[in-house]
Amino acid sequence: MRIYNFAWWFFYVFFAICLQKLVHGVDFLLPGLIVALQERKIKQFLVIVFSFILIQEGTGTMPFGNIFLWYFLVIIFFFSWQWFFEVESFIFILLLSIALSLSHYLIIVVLADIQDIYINFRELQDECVYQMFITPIMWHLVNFLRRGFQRVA
Amino acid sequence: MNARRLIVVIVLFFLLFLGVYTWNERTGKMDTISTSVGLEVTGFVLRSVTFIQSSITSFWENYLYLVNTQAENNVLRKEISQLKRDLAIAKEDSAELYRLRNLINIEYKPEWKTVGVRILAWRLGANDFFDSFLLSKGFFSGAKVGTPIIDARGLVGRVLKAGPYTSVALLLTDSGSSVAVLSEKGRVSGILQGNGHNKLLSMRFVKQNEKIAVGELLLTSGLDLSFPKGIPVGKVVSVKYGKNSMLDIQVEALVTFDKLEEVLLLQNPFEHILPEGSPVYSPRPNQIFSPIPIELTVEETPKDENIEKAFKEQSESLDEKNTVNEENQANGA
Repeated sequence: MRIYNFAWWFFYVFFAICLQKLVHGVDFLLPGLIVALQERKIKQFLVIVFSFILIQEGTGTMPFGNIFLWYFLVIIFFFSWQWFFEVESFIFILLLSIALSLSHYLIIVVLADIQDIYINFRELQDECVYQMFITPIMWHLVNFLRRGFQRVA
Repeated sequence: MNARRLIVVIVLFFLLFLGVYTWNERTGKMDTISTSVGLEVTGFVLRSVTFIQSSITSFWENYLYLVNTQAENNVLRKEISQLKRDLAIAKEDSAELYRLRNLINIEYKPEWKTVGVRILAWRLGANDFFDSFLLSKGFFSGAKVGTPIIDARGLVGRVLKAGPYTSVALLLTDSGSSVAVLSEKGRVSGILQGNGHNKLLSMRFVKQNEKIAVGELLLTSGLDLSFPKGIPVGKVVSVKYGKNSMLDIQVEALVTFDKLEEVLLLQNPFEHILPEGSPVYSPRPNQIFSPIPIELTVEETPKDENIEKAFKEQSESLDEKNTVNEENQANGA
């Protein structure tokens, strides 16, 4: 089971990076992170979140910190909103993706200002909007595949 | 998880974040770790995809797509013979240059080696806001931080961060990129800065009395110790009078960045004994001098209507006197 699980996440990362090559500025690892949160396996989640942070921070050009902070907000939003919504409902994921896109915009604007980095705000806005629409769709797909995989394995 | 526990977790995390962030600002350790691990994972995935893609393409081109090969061979043979003739002439020129340099005792600049490298991907992920691309070579294979990148037409940029076998390049067009340049004919030097993707570059710090013309080629001057002297960078497309007695010069890069697939890394053989070059990413000048850009405006001095009136009256009376004098002189004559 562990090997199959590892293989599943390995292929997920593989395809997510390929998709990131096609759509600039969008995080395709984020839906996988939400799925890992929903499974509530603490060890698996810690390994995944740490690996995803390293991949996104390592690939990006901004100094370390943006993704670290953003992924932590995923955890905060997830656990604070679970009292109001069913965590596997589409509405929850839609609201979560809207909140995460807005928070991503704010984090980048604040940290870019602190780090004296000039960024194109128009491009950032567009990418946050893409992220807002892509995350629920990708989550739906990843969740479906993950459930199918768990049934087979 | 109850509310109290959640608040404790949030507070602890922010303390952890601030600790890690400031520690990284000071030491750069987290950047190094994430670049060595994360960038390599991404590089591995993209290299595999590129390998599969190129294998399929080459199989198609080598075995299935053989139409017009004979005709293409003939064209290439003609081209080779032409290139051989050109090479012979160039060898003659080179020998002459060698002799002339010896005559005037100019030392040879160290020869920079070139290493070919493939572009794996353009701006990747949600943490990439620079004008950049991923390269298939890292610090083990010749792409160290600061290594200049060129293609056949001219300068492309520099290596911004490097993992063992994958690196990220900062393009010339990025707003944080700056290169010391020199105009080809007038030998006017300045700093060339990017303004963002698909935008013209700006040549800064050129005085208004300098002679620089539209269409003039700009070359690297080598004064920033980051690039060898003489790499073509761009062409001047407009020259206007700007603020602070400086010229406002717009430059078009020679390289078409969107069409790049492979580039060359330039490696300095005497890197270990030369002083360090300028940083790869540098904030724009207005950000250096003040965080808020200040618009310089010259206020017009308020006009004193009385003075103007008196001046007008005086000039009118002088005109009248002149005309009377002229008439008197004419009558006297």
